[in-house]
Amino acid sequence: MVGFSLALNVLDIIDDRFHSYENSCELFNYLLNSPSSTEDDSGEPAPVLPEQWLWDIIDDFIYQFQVLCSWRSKIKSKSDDELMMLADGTGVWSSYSVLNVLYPLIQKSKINEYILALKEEQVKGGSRTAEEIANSISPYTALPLYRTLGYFSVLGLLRVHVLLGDFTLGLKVMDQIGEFRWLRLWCQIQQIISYRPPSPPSNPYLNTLLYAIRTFVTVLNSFQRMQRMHGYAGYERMDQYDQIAKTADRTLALYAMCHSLVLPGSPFTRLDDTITNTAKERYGEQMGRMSKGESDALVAFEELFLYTCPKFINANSPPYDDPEAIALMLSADQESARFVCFLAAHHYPQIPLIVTSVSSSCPQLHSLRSFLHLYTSLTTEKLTSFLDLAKIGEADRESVEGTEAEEEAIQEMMVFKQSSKSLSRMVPARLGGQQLIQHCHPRVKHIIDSTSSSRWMRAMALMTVFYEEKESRSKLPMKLYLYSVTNRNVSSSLLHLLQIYCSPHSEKHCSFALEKASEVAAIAAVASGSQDAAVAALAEAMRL
Amino acid sequence: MATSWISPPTRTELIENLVSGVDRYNPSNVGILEDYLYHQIRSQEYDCLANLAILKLYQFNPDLYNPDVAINILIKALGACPLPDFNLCISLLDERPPNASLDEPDPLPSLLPVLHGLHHLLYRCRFPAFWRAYRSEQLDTLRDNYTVECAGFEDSIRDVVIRAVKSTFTRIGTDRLGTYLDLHSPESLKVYIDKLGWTLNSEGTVVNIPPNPDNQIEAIVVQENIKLPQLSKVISQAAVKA
Repeated sequence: MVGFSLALNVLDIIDDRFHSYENSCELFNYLLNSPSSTEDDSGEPAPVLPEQWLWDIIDDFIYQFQVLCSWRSKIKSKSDDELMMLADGTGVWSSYSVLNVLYPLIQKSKINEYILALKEEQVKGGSRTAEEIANSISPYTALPLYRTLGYFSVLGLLRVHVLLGDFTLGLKVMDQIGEFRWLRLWCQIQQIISYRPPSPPSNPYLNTLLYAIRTFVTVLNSFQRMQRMHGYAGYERMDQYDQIAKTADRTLALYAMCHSLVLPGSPFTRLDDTITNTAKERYGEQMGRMSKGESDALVAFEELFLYTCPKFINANSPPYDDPEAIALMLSADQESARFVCFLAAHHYPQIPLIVTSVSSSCPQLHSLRSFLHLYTSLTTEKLTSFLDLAKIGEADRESVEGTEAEEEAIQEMMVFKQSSKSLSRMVPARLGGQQLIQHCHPRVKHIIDSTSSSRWMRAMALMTVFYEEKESRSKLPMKLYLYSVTNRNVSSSLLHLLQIYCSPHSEKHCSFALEKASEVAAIAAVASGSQDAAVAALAEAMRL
Repeated sequence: MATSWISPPTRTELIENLVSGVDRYNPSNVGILEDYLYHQIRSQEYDCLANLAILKLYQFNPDLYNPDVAINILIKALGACPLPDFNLCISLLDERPPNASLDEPDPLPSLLPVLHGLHHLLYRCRFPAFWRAYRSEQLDTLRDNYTVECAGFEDSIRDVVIRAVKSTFTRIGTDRLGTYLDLHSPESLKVYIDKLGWTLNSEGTVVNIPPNPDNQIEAIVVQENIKLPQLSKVISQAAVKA
C-alpha cells in the first residue's frame, strides 16, 4: 500500500502515472487472488480494509484513468521523453485494462447474485439474514471486503461506461443494484457524490425523462438534507461540503433541463414544488430560454449540458507506438487531425445528440400543449393559426400554402403524441401523457387530459363530468378549479368544491357527494397543512 | 416494446451470451456479431443491443473498424424511431484518427450528416419530407450501396409511420396516409391497409383505424392510494384543537 497514492492530484510526471497504474494492478491482483477464509490453507487471514479505503481505491483508480486519458489524447505539447514513454506503454491505462479490473471484482464478489437473492428473500418473506444469504452464494461474498468492493466496482463501471459515452451499458450494469440501494449506500458514504454527476445524463438519452426526473428529485432531496447537516458531526471537512454543494448544483441544472424537456402537465412533473422553485431561482434565466424553444433554447441547453456533463474521454490513445502516424497527426492542422466527421465541430459528440432530441421535442410543443389545454375539441385550421404556421387573416386561405401549414400542424400533433409517451425503465408500461385523438373528417381533434394522481383530482374530474352535463356554462369555472388545484392552491379550491357538492345543483348526486365530501375534507386538511382550513372543511362536510 | 428491445425473440443463445456477458469485449467475436448483423439485414430482424456491441468493439479496437457495418447499423436503427437507438449508436462512434489503412476513403463521414438528417425528419414525423429526401438524387449512393441490400428497409420506415399514425388518428384520409407511407397508387395502399387489418369506408377515401390504447379518448387516472383511516390522526388532531 505504500506506493499507492490515494490523492494523486498533481500528475506532472508520467513516471508517477505509470507507477501508480502498476501499484493499482498489484493491489487488485492481490485482492483477486487472495484466499477467502474458508478455503484458507496457508493460515493467512482474509484481508480486511475499512470501507472508506475501498471506496477511495476504486474512486482514485478511475479518476486517474480519466485524467490520464484526457492528457494522453492531446498530442501536442508532449516532450520527446513523454512520447517515448507513451510509445512503450500503450497498454497502460487502456480501457481494457480498467474493465479488466472492474469486471473480475464484480464477478468475484458475485454482488449481483447476492442482491438478487436478497430481493427474492424479501419477496418470500424468508427469515434468512443477509449474512446467511451471502454465505450461501460464495465464500467471497461472505466477506464484507469483497461485497463492498463489488458494490463500488459496479458504480465504478457505470462511471467508466458513461465517460466513454456508452449510456446503454452504463444503465445495464446498474440493473441489479437499482437506484434505491444505490442511494441508500450513497447516503452512508458521502464521497460517492463524486460519482453522481456522470450518471444522470444517461437517463435523458434513453427516453426515460420522467424516470430521470424522479431520480433527480430523490437525489436533490437528500442533498438538501446533507446541506442542512452542514456543521454537524461528520461534515467537518470543508472540501467535502463544497463538493456536495457543487454536485447538488449540477444535479439541479440537470433537473432544470429535464423539466424543460418534458411536456408541461404530464404526470410526475409536479413532483416537488420546492425543488422546482429552487431550480427556477438558480437557473431561472436558462429555464425561460429553454421553454421558449427556438435557437436560444439550444444555446441554453448546450450551456447547461456542458456544465453538467462529465469530461468524456476517448477510448483509445493516439497511436504513439507508430511514430509516423503521430508525425502525420502533428503536422496536419488541427481540424483534419481531429475526427473527420461532423461531430468534430463540438467538443463532445454528445452535444449534437442532446440538441437534436431537444429541438424535436421543444419548439412548438409547449405552445401546442397550452392551446390544447383550453379546448376539448378544436379544428386543425384554428390550431394552425394559433401555432403561427399560417396567417389566418390572409385572403387566400385555401391556397397551397395553407394546406401545407395545416399538414405541418398535423405532423406536429404526431410528434406531440410520440413525445408524450415515455418508456419506463425496464417494464413496458405507459406512464400516461396527454390523450389526443384526431378524427380526420370533421377536422376536429378531441382532447382529454390525463389527470394526475391524487384522489381529489379524481373527485374533481368526476364532478366536472356531471357538472358539464348539467350546465355547460359552468365548465369554465370548473376547469379553473382543476387548474388551481394543480397549481397548489389546494385548500381553497377544495372548499369551493365542497360548496358545489352542497349546492342544490347536485341533489341528484347527493349520495355520491356525501360519500366523497369527508374524504375531500380530510385531504384538504393535509394538503393545506393548516388546521383552520381542515376544520372549516370538516364543518362543511358535517353540514351535509 | 421494452422487453423485446432488451432481448428480441429472434436472438439466438450464442448472441445472448455474447451480449450480456463479458465476452462482448473480446475482439475475436466481432465476426460473429457482424454475421448476425447481416443476418438481421437479410431477414428483417432487429437487435439493437447486439449492434451496439459491435460498435463497442470498434470503439475499443480501431483496427476492427468497418465503415460499411457501421452504416448498416445506423440504417437499421433508423427503423426503430422514435426510440433513441440511432442516437445511442452515434454516441459510440467517437473520435478516431483518419484511418489510412483502408483502401478507399471512409464513406461514413460523408454519409453521417445525411443519415442524421433522415433520422431528424423521421423523429419529427415529417414523413412526406423524409420520402422526398430519401428519393432525391443526392442520396443515390446511400440507396444504391446500402439500403438496397437491407431487406424491407422501406417497410421498416413504414412501420415507424404506422406507429405514429396509429396513436394519433382514429380515421385518416387515404391521400394523407398515402403520402406518409409513400404508397401513391390506391391499389398498393389498399394492399398495405389490408395487411394491417385496417378498413376503408364505403367511398374508399377514409381509412378507419381500429381502436388501440393510444387513440382512445379516455382520461388516464393515475391512482394514489390514500385511505381515510391513514389520515384519521391528522383529522382527529384538528377536531380536538377545534
